[in-house]
Amino acid sequence: MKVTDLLWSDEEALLRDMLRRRLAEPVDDADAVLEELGLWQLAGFDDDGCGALQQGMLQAVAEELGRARLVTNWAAQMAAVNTIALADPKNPLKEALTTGAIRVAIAAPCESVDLGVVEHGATASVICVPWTQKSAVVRLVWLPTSALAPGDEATTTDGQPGARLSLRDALGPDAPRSGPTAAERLFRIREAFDLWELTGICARLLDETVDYAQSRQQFGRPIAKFQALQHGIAAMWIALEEIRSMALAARAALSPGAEPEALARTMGLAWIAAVPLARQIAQSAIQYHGGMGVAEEYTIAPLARRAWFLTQRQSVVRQGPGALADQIDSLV
Amino acid sequence: MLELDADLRVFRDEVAEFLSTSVPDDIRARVAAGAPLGREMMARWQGIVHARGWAAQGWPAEYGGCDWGAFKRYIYDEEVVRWDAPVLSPFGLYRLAPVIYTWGTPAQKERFLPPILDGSTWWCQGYSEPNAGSDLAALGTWAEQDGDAYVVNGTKTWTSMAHYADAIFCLVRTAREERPQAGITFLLIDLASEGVTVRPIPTLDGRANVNEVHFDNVRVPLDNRIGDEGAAWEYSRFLLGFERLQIADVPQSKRLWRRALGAARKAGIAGRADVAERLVRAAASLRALEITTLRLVARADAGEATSDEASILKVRGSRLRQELAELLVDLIGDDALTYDTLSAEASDAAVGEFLYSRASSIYGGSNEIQHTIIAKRVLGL
Repeated sequence: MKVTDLLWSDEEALLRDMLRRRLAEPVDDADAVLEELGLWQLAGFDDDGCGALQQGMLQAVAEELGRARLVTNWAAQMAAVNTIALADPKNPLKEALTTGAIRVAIAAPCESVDLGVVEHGATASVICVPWTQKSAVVRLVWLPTSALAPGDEATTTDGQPGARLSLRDALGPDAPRSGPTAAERLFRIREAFDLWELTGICARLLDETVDYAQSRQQFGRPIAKFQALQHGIAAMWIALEEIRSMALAARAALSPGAEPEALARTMGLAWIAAVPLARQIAQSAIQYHGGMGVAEEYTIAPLARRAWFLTQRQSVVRQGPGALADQIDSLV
Repeated sequence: MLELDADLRVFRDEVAEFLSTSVPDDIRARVAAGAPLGREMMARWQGIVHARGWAAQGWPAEYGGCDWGAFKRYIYDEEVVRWDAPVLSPFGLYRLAPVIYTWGTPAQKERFLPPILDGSTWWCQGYSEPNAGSDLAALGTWAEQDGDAYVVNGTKTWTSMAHYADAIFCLVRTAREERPQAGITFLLIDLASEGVTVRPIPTLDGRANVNEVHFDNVRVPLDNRIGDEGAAWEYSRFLLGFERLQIADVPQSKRLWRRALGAARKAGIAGRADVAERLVRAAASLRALEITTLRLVARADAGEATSDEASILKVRGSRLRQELAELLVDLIGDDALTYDTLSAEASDAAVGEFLYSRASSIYGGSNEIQHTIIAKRVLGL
């Protein structure tokens, strides 16, 4: 991690602020807004054909999408493009993915024909499947949706449109495959995108809570004047700052040429720290909003549910402390 | 963890060279075990650091300081831990000296700064009183001018190091104003003065870390007043902006974590799932705190004011230190059931550290006060 990784650059801050202003307006089609701003090309290639990963810019966009509670498959697309750029440049899907001619969704790791519910699986043309053996990801398989059995429409726990997908047969030999290096890369960058989105969600939850506490009156004064709430909201800010720190660590760790073990370690520690902190923020936001916090028609419930979805996706099995126990000498 | 620029890498190597070769063996052994050092050892070490020219790290160069920025100081602190070197006592060097070189007269600077630097005068801080803790402006120690001196009466409490110190810098009341923050004056008092009593207060670790200091008609020369009469509240607020970035004490917590891992290995339980989980979770918390600290250090180095946000470092740093000390003691197991307060045995030092770390969320501004600072000054509640 370099000193410059600790702060936003002027360019990143500019993009973040511009996007925040744009997304503060009602957005009917998030994909179109990202297109309008040229953000589908952020994870492209440089002149040498190498991956020009602009981690800071990607982080800024992912956070703002989280803050605005806009869920698109942009992050999946960026993760896939970056994976190909850095770890599998001969992949035949490279051009189509980079130009956006195909849209990709990413399945959860699996080792059977059942892919489960894939977020954005109904709208993607290619499903990227991390194929596992004995819990270790050994390759990526890029499956055109034609290779899949027609899926039922399904809704994720988070309320997002998805599809319940399964393979028609065993994996076809023609499906493009990427090796373990690419598989590892996709895994890690996906973790980073989720963490960045989570950071934006938690920041919004805090902002909403501060605003609400200042406007909601009880016992003749704003509830923000009660010390119990002041301290609880201060604790939310503390938790958010620690998540922000881990989000910056994730971005620094993704630099091209990152040593895979160090990258895995950073992501593991980041999520081990972030999961309880984000859940604390979500629960506190609900608590301090009272009934408004659990009502679907207001802001907090969908944000909190998305925070829970992301922490669940990254938490218990793969990012649990046990996953890092064998690297204990390198953790501190 | 941080990749440093070339000039900071050179600096780190210089510090490492100094600390790896200059710490006397008896001192290094006690630091490695986590055992407390007495005044003799602390003064001896300060003399060595001063001879190297590094005792006054944050002071401006014109007063003999190094004028190091926040990153250099952070690197120095990391190396201190890496080489089991002692931390310098902050009271004279970093709590008193900035007030003197900012508001003192030329004669006061000449008189007081050199013995602070070389460690020949040992200072303690007289702020808290029995009825003025978090509400410091409620302090009642009274100083009344009588000819060429102030006559001081009152009591300071929780005064760290007073049993070792030669002198105390105090906030005293010289006038009763409507605003409690007004009428407070900054006085330097020789602890050998007639009428001063220092009573050590044993703490739950069984050691004497803090004291009560009574002033009974103690005469203090007018020359020992720093700055204007009644203006000291501003000085104490100014001081709050100092040392805030060191308060998380990440390097020391890293050392605690490594001792915990060592204790787990010694007990043959490092591979047990529950033990590994606690160690890994603590490592994740440490990483988050370390990066949070570095973010604030980077902003401070760029000239930004960060003292309000630095409350996060006090809250998380103290809490993590408590958790790590608890983890260490848990891993020591039955050996932690007996305890010799003065021993440098690893288990005794760990128990002492565990017990005294209970106070880390109180001293230096309680964590409740830090939450209030964040709520009001950072979030505007």
